[in-house]
Amino acid sequence: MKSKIHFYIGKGGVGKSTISSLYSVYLSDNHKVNLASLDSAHNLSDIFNISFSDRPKDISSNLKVTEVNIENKIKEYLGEIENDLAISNTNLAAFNLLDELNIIKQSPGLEEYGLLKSFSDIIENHAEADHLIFDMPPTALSMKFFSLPSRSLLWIEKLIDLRNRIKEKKEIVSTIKIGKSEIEQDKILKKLLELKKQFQTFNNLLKSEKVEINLVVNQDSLSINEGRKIINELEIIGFKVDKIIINKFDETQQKVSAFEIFDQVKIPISKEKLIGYENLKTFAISIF
Amino acid sequence: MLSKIKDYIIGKIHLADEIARAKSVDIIESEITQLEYIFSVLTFGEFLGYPSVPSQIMFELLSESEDSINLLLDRINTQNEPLAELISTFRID
Repeated sequence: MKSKIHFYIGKGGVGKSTISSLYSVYLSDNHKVNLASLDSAHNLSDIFNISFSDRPKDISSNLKVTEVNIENKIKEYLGEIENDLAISNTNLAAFNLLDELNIIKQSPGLEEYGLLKSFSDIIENHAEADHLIFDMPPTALSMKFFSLPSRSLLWIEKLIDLRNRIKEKKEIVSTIKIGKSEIEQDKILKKLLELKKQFQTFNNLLKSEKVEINLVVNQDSLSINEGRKIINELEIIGFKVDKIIINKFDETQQKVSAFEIFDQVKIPISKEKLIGYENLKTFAISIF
Repeated sequence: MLSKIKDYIIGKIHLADEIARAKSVDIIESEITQLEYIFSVLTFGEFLGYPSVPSQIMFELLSESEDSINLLLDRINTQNEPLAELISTFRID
């Protein structure tokens, strides 16, 4: 994959969507760019003054914009699980009971997995883009998104270890009983190994040089304190913030001394309303 | 005469071997059941109120996990006498 991946994270309301839109418009002057909002409270439609959906919409010859519908993605995923269950429980079909599984689609607590699935789809479907820019949801969900692959891998490795121990014991029993090791294929182990490969791919990609994490802050203490927490939490799970973007920067206000060791970009307050492609482009050219 | 004694001794050795194999298999099979139970608790512990694996992993394994879930349900019935099963496995009188 040739694309560079940019994430814009930060406290709700600091201007992640505006900053990611400005960068997208700026970069699309010379590069192919795909901007995607992974925040369910989508703002890109308001910023570009165009209605967006799951399907990428061309804004210019080099810029496509998508607003991902996480809820649909989760429903789609749970629909696949429902199908798997139907296949492995064919007796349910015989009694016309498959509809009873529909409730699975309403399962809670899968937002971060929906995010990861959406991210994966965009990576796969837009590999030709030079830059993939992600406007992320507010802090808590973004942190869950970044930690999901490594957290899942911890569990998966423990479960694989257990399945292997069970397999070894079954082989011993088989050897004692019939003189040779002959056991059925462990379908759960097979599935776990597939999952391990999938999460390792995500983890390696997210921690690769292709990824740039940009933290957007304002000059108020709430956003600065939350920014500090984000940096610490990301560090714990093995990620580092590449750039601090101080949005609505005002020289007369307090200095942002918390992030001196990071590359900083200061975005001043725009005199014009940042709505519509042309306004974004004019402002982006003037500041970058 | 000698060959009869030899056959008798070999028969007894085979019998002892079979008994020892059966006993060791019983213990290993019981250990397998315990490991399967631990696996079930880690994977589907949410059903019992334990913290468990992230939901998406549980969902991915669901279609292949009929045996694991049955094992959890069986345990609910035998949970009142946990020592009885252990004593029976190790044949303690």
